[in-house]
Amino acid sequence: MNVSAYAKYLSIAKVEMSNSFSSVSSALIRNVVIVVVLFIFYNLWSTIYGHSSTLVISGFTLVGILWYLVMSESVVSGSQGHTVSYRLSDDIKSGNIAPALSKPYNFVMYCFWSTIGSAVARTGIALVLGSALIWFLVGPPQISITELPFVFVSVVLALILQFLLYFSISILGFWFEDTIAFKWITDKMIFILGGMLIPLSFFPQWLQTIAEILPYSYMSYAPSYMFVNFTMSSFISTVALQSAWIIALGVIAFGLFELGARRVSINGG
Amino acid sequence: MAAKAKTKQRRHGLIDFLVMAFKINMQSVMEYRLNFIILAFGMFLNDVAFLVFWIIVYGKFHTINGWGFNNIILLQAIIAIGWGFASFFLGNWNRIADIVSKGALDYYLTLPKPVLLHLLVTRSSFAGVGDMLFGLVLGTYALSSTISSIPLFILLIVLSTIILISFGVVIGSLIFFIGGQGELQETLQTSLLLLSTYPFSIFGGAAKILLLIAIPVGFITGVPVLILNNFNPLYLGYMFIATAASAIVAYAVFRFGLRRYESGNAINVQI
Repeated sequence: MNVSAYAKYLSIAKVEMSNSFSSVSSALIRNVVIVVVLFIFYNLWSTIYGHSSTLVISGFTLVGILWYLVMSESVVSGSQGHTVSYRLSDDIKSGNIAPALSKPYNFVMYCFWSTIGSAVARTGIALVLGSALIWFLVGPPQISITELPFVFVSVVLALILQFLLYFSISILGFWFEDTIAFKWITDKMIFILGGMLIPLSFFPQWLQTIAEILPYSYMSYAPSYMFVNFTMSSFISTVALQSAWIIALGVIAFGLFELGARRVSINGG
Repeated sequence: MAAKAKTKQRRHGLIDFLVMAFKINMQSVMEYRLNFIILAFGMFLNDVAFLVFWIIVYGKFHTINGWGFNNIILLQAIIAIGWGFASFFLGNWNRIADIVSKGALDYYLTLPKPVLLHLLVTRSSFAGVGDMLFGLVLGTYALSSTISSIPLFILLIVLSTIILISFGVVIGSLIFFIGGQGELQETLQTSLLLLSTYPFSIFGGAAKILLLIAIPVGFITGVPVLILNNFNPLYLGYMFIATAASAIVAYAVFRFGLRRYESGNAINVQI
């Protein structure tokens, strides 16, 4: 890909990112849910920990688990909603995909950059709101500023992984009337096996082993755990495994798209 | 005498209308059979995932402030049946703001049927069946050792569902007063669902009062579970008061809001 092609896709990402900030009231309304979720979790985990700040359960203090949940909820909620890949199955069903395929860009790259643009912005907004609430309730996270860029890298890789997974699910629209049920199940896989609702260390050992093998944990658990328990060795191993999953899911996503696109017939303009 | 006959005739007309709306929705189910099965089954699995979360939590901590696993099962059963019923039989209950913002309310205003009721029943979400099935399975499991509680369980579900739908109508009708695109209803409805699926015992002080009065989440799941655990006629009385108040407020807010509605002259085709 030459430099001008990169500029084109970066512009697409920038447009989607600025769209996410275009209406402050809409962005705030959308993120009310994350504030409600974290408020519920604050009440739930405070009750479980008996409001003790020193008690450690499955490797987490009360403050640790709440900051873990700020990150895990933000990373997942950032990729949810009206992203391109989420709308894709509707476009396939309605036939709107045909004109999109004939435009002078690589369709998969267009979907990728526009989704990443909005996902980074949405994750950022959710993180700011969620952090404000939890900081107010239990105090600051135990991470230094110098470690934050490493966590940011892992968060971006988690967003890329989620894009590839949801994109593949949307592409199933070429074969199925409605893909919403597949999306629900994928959502819940990330919620549970991805560790969005509860860290994997709280699972029974057998379930934890299964969850660690599957890619979902690299979409939420891995960057969130790193956020509350950072070490350079865990950063290297997490990023390596996230990259490996990106390659594997990337091959599946592109392969499915190539198969599906063959079923599209474009008649005239 | 003539007035009585007219009221009776109107009531019959209303029942016929509701039966007809149900038949049309069922025809839609039959038309998209595979889609219906996928959506209903998908929603069932979706609900199971949340149950897995509670199995993990209760596997580690056997009770949360007095709430055992059986209470969570009852809570999930109540909200799933109520939400599923509302979504399948009154499918527009969570889309009022969206309909108003698109100017699609005109269609309902031109027909000689109660606007709110007509609006609610003209859509059916297939996924609601998955929710109802999930709730029934959980309810059967939770009450298997106390079969005598089943009539009370059914009564509480009816009351809880009326409160749930009323809340949907109130927050959907807010669009008449504050405008927007309907995203506020979606957000508040999701928040309500989240708040009503966690043990009521984790909330204390101001939060508990807020969840009983301002957002009636406590009456959707919390109080019904308390009554099923330990029957208290006073709490049941509160449930009836909360249900009546919710329904009256919902109807009044919708009627009052409707006066502020301005047609967008949008042409909508109802299929």
